Amino acid sequence: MQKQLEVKHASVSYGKQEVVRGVSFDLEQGDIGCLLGPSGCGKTSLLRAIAGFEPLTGGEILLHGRSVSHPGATLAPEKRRVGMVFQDFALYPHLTVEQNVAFGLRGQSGKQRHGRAAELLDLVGLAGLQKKYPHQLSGGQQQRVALIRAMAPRPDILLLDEPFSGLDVELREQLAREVREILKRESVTAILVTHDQLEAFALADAIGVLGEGRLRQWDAGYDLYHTPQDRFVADFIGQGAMIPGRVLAGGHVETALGSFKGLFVNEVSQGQAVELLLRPDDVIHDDASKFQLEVVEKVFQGAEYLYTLLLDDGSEILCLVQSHHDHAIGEKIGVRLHIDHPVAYPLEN
Amino acid sequence: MSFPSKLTYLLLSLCLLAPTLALGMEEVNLYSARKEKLIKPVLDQFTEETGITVNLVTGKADALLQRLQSEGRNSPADLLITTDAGRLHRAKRAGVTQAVDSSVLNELVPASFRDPEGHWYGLSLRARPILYVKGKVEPSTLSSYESLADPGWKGNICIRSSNNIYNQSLVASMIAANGVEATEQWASALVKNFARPPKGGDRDQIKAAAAGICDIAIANTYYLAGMLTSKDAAQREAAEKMAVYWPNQQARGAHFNISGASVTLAAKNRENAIRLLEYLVSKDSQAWYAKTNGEYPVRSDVEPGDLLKSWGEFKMDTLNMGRLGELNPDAVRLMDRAGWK
Amino acid sequence: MQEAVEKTISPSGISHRVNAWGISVVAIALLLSVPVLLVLSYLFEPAGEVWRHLADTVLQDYVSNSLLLMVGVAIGVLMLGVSTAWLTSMCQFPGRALFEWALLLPMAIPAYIIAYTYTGLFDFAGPVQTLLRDWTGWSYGDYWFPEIRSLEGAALMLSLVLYPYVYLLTRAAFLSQSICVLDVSRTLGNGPWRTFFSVALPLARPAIVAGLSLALMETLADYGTVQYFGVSTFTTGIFRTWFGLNNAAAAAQLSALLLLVVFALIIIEKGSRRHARYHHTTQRHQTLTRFQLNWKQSSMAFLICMGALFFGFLLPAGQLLWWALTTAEESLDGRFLSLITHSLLLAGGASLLALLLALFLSYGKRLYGSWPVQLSVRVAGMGYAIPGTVIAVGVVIPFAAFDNALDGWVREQFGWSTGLLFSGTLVALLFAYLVRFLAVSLQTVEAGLGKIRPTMDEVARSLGTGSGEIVSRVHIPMLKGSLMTALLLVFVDVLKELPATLILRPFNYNTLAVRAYELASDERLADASYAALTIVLVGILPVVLLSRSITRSRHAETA
Repeated sequence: MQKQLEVKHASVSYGKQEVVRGVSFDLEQGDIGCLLGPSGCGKTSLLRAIAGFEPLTGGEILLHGRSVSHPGATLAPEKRRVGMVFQDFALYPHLTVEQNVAFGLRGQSGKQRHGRAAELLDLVGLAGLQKKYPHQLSGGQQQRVALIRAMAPRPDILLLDEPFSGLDVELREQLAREVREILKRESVTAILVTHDQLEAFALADAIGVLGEGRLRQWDAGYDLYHTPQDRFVADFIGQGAMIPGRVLAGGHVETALGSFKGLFVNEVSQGQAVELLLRPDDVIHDDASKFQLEVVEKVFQGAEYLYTLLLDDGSEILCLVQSHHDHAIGEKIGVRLHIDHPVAYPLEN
Repeated sequence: MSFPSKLTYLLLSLCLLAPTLALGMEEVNLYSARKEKLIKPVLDQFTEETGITVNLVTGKADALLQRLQSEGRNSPADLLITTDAGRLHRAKRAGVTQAVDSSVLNELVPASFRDPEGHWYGLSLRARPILYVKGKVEPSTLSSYESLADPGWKGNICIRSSNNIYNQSLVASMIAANGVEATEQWASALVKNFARPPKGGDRDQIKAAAAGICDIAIANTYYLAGMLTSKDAAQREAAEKMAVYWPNQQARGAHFNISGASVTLAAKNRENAIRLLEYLVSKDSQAWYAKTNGEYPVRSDVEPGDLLKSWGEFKMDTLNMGRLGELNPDAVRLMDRAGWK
Repeated sequence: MQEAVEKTISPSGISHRVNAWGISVVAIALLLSVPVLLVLSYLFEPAGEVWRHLADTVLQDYVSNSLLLMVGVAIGVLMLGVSTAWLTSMCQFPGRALFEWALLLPMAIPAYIIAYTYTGLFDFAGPVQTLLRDWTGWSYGDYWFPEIRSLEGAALMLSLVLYPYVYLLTRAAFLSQSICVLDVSRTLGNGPWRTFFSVALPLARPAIVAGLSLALMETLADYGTVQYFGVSTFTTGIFRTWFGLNNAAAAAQLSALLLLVVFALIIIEKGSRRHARYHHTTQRHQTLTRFQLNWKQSSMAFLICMGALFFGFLLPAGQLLWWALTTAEESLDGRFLSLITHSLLLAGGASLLALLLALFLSYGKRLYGSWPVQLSVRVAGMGYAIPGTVIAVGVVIPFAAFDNALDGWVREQFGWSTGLLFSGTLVALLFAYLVRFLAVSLQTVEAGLGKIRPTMDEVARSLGTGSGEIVSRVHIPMLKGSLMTALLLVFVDVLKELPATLILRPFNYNTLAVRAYELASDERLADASYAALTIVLVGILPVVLLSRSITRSRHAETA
């Protein structure tokens, strides 16, 4: 099957500064991808390159098998059949909701346009608001209008640039789920750019984490969390802590919390000093354990407490414990490790 | 063609056409510091009699002079008319005028009212005497411009701002007569006699005197004439309260300035320009001027009209007009120092 | 497939366009700044000891009078402009709908004309004081009466005709404010007055400052009023130094000093506009509900608005009408019709050209805002505060120099003469108008363009819309109000413009302003009234259109 989007070693530069460096990934028809990363990581530049607003300084982008960008040649955005939703929605204040939605519908009769707009408005639960002006809508409504305006011409791919960041926090997650449902129902291929991992988890099938212009990992949310490919991804996704360790023979690793055998996701060699990623759920509360650690901080999260525990060497780890285990700060509690996918990184020095 | 490009086309053709439009016709081009209203009727008459079209741009003398200077040898202007001899002198010094040797002009315009080399000719005389309120001032107490500085006139004199060319040339004529130092003392003393800070034009000084703000006003006579013949009853009433006093009659005479004209160096219609000049000093034109504008004719053989005659004969300051232009900057500085606003 | 891509793509084409557009922007701006730069170039020419003389005698007066005049006009236009803008946009009282547009009418009256009419009315010899004396039997010196021809009088005159700039921009700002923020303030226990001062006013500040800076630039450039009132300002000083002292270099240096003040004003104005970004209120709006005033407040509001309208328009226009009907010796004839045609042609042509140029420059700045482009657009708008005569001379000199150089070259090469190609034509005159008034349309267009966010363009492009279509479907509809405003403001300004017209017009080409001035400067005020009145009448129509376009554009510009 032909890929809907292929990004091959794409690079984007502003002047001498290379903000996207040799990124590659692809998307199948109907997939929802996400570019996730902290601000300044190059994710928006990459999205704008896919849309055709930025030229490539290296690599190539193909849409539906057709090369649309490579250095020195950039197909204009209006010829790419992409739809784009912006952070500020960019609705046209002089047009009604219906006119906004039908803005990109060309070569169609008035009736067809009217029909398509109604169908989409219906889809997002805004039927009947055709004649309103954007400023008469709530933020969430404006967001949905911006979304269906981009979807109206049935683009090959839909690009969403931080589409929820202008909205209230409660609204965000709800809308993200709604949007995913709409996109899936219409079988739209889409890419979302965000710095919010929960948004990414809620919406995307596959997520690419970008750091300093490089694509660090392209994976499903679950894998990003449990088997981050490098320290950057490990730090950026989810909560966790690193403890020092040493690789022994036979795939064993020795740490301050005991030695254990694991199937390492990444390659490590015997005798190497490493850091081991510990997610809070890898650390099990066990009063019988020989490892008794001091509680230095605790956060109540409803069903659970998130404890920060102090190791003898001064490093700290996180531990998620059911909330009926209420321990005071300074108290010592017993823990043991239970790691399904141990991830270790060579110490950098 | 879209609208904007139509417009460019229109403008382009306008600009290209404007200078060439009148080619082939007999014409003369005039830069005039005299207002259109005050010269157009004579020009129309000229065209009617000679068939020569007169093209006119009016404006402030200095700006017209600047335009003439910048345009240089390609200037379309044939004739420059100003209402002040100083400006004509300045034009001559700037090298944008040319000498004219017309026996008609030399015969009709008295030598003191034209440039010795024929660069400019006077067309009319504008006198600036002392005006006083009838019944309030005994004319025998007046004598000269100089005497207005007497402390006895404190708070009793109305005169306009020193920005005005008429005052500048009056002071220039006094510098020529008395020197800078004496004139500065005079100006400082005169300022102390002002009834109010200078404001408005000459008519305003006459109105102020008539309304009782001061007894003495200094103004050009043609303003008084204009008020006396005005449709506005209030203006007539005010003007009728005033009388004319000709100062300095024992010595150099009353101050006056001239309006005059120069043929430009770049003139392409030189002959027509000279014809127009000659026409402007013809008896009819001179009489019309005197009657309509209330200025004195430059020709001694033309009667100035009944109203002007009623103010009596007077002796004029025979200072060469060119001096007024030369001394003008000195006059302005002097008034700056004297605090004459 | 690959082929198709190559065709539709312009390989490195974008950067070419950057240069072409950017360079033309800089070139046009440079061309328009020639007169201003010419003035500035005199800074390096020794003016001799005349500066010493000026400093010893009159310079202090020029500086202090100009400053005082600016302060006076600032106070005047702020009080008149802001209060009337607030009342007509936020309060409901009888006559509001009428005042909405009528308050702009004083804009149609040239400042020197209002000065003449007020002098005619309120001077010692005028009807008001004469009547007072007849009633009371007083004579001069027995009573005190405000002197109209004074610094305060000049500030008042200029305030009365310039407040509409502040009114216009502030009203638009009030109308675009979300009523929510005002409601919030009221729920926090602030009454209408405190709401006005603590919320509405700060929010509208950028607009107020923009209007104020326009009014102050006009004030600095004014010559007619201060000259007539005998107030020595920088502008009268420039003329006195130039023509009286016959020292062009010193005069130009005074102009250059004036330009420095303008620079400062522009920086202040720009600073306040940058601030405006943080002042965006919520995107949601309710329909505007105006404060209902009780009868006491209503009559107050009515009196304030009526006062501005009466003293700024009705009284001077009435005086002109009275003169025209009773004492004028001038009458309407065929020539008068040509005056109207000329005025309309010039005003229409100049405003259209200014608009097109403003669009070209501000789009250039928007698309390729490198610093040379930014700077040159800024400089191109500087002419607004320079007295018209100075601009005109700044236009005469380079045009004539160009024409003569071309003529010399052609004579040498081909043996015939081109004469003066542009000097003394409408091209030179229109150019001067552009130099002088481009700032007005530039400001308006830039403000309008600022409301179109870059993402709005990008959405359109991603929806398959080409550049041309973006302009026609997004920009023009959104800019309509601003374009109209720019057009009309320049139209009215050119209609009133005098000094440049006077110096630069071709032979036999008179306008209403020229006619009015010639008669007025000959102290025939009554005769000038026909032409002056016609300027006012011709100016009223665009002013009314202007007001309507603002009210209507509220919808489009506020989301």
